[in-house]
Amino acid sequence: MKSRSYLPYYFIAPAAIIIFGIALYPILHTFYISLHQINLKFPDLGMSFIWFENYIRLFRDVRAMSALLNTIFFTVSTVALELIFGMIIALLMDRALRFRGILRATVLIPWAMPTVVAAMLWRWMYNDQSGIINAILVATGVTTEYLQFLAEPALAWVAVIVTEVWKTTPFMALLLLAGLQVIPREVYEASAIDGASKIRTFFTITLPLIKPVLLVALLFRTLDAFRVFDVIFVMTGGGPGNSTESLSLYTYKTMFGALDFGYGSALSILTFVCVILISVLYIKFIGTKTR
Amino acid sequence: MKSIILHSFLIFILFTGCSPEEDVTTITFNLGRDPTGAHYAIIELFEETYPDIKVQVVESPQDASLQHDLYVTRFAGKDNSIDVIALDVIWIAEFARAGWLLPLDDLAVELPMDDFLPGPVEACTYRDSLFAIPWFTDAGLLYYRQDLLNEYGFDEPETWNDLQIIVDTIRRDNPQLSGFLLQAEQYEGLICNVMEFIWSHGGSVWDKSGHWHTATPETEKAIQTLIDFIRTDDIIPRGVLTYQEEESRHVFQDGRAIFLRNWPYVWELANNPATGSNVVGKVGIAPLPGEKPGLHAATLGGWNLGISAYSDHPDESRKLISFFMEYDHMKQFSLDGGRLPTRMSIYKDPDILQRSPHFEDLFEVFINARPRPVTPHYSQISDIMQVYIHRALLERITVREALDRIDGEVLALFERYGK
Repeated sequence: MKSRSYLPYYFIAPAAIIIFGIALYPILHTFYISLHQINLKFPDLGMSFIWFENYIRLFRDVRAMSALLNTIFFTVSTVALELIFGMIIALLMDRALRFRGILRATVLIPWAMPTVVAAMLWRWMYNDQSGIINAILVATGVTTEYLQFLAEPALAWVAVIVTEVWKTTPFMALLLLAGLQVIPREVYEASAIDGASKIRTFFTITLPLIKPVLLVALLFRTLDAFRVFDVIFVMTGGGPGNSTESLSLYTYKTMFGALDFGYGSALSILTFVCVILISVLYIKFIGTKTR
Repeated sequence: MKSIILHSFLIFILFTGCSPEEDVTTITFNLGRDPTGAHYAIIELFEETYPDIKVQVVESPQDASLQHDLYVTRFAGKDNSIDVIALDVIWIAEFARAGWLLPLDDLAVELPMDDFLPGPVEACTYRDSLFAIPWFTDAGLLYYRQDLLNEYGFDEPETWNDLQIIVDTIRRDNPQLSGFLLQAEQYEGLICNVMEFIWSHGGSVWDKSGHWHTATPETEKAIQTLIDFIRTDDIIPRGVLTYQEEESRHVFQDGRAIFLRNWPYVWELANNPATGSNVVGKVGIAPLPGEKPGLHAATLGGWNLGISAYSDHPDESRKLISFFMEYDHMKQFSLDGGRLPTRMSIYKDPDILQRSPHFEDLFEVFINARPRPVTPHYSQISDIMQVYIHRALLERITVREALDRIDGEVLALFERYGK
């Protein structure tokens, strides 16, 4: 009898081993490295165990802290905008009866484009002398002079956020659309009979009913935005004056530019911890609301 | 029946055709993508001369920092598939310190090292050993609109002040033109441009006794000049804070700027109507101005050939490097690819001067081009400098503050790992 109770463990063992091998082991190894001073440039200095010194350095490092704040700012602003625009597009697509297929395919184009290609495209569009955005702004009289978008920290942020929102709103819209389409039509009919306004219907019926889908979409996008690298790397390289450097970009520069793998690993672990915190918060939120 | 004949034929080829291959050594030649492909002709010649060595060309992306990251990953994994490798001048100290390159002092004995340009040799030397041989070089130059300068009766500018006067005068009638373009995005090119400003003001980043020290009056003045050009005087358009080489080349080539600082590759493109250039035949080329007459400065770029410490074929690799360095081969390579040779005698070659007459005047620039700090810490130092100098150019911090921060962080770096 006793041996039978072990049986389930044998069944889950392969899955557990694979998960450990591809997810857990790299994280644990990164953590192990982050407790050492190790720089590939100096193999003769070896790998010395320094406890949490890299973490102490991290919290004293102004650049790391501002990269963290930049990342949080980027995440919050892009996800909020994607939510608003994604919701509007999803509601429109839910209504549209004709050309539905074409509409959905068109909306997906930015999402299907490789991020680096899209970022490169936008970089040229923002160009201060030959960019189309400046041409449009001046032609429509919004500004009288050409703006140096990527040369001013505030404008560079706008530029990067617009690119990211343009790129990933379709993903949000499609997930939300899926949520909208499973809402039974009768509920809407009932609210119409009760004489509820459109806005009232949206807030008391649509929103609560798509909440689970909404939270999953938000979770995906938040985690994704928090790891932002490519858009910023291509468009600004972290500039101007390092004002748009994200945590991933700083980690990359530390690891592959400076070859400081010990400190770079500590930065990776910081990203990992933040991502875990975000996930836990969301999952808690999703869990309680659907019960 | 047919198939039997075919098969025996194939088997025949298999046994006879391939057997000589067994004593052939294959070495890899790793370099960034070169659109001119001029190295292939030399490699063909090499394989004819050494039938027992075959060279496999392995190209990586053109972007130098992507190549750096690629090589670092492979070296860290002790990858033995790299034999000969083309190295950017700024990697050599770093790779040599990490023990990834073979010292090539024995090769230096065979080669006429006195004929090589001093700057590239300095960049290839780490702790008194040579770790790479300069292959072709690069140096920052001033391009100018010859037609405009002639029209207004100006000579090429000797000092930064001259340049400022020329820009002011010409822009008075042509406000749509930009004055002087350079590369000042937060990236490696910013440091190339800034070093030229620093050197042309008599400043430096190392002091005479070999200590790191940027916060000097000369350096401060140099960067302040750059800031003033960008802000108050409108000599340099603010957009350069987002420019790399290609952005600035396009604006200049469209005929929308008077001056451009760029590398020698622009010369052929700006003078080739096929590139859509609007300034064909209207471009002049000169050394960059200085604070005082004669105080010209140029940042050294260029590529050098080294051998991986993990290579299984160091002797064959040495042969390939020597072959590339021979007078005739280097000459052919620069004729085909429009590259600047590293051997000084080639600059006097009539064939070279016929193809690139401007080499004669610019030889002074190439011989005086200076390497960026030769230290294994370079990539990190560059990153630190990029952050603070770009911030100073935005006027978020003062120049003094930027330089103090740079010194503080660089010294902390030396303290952590040794110089």
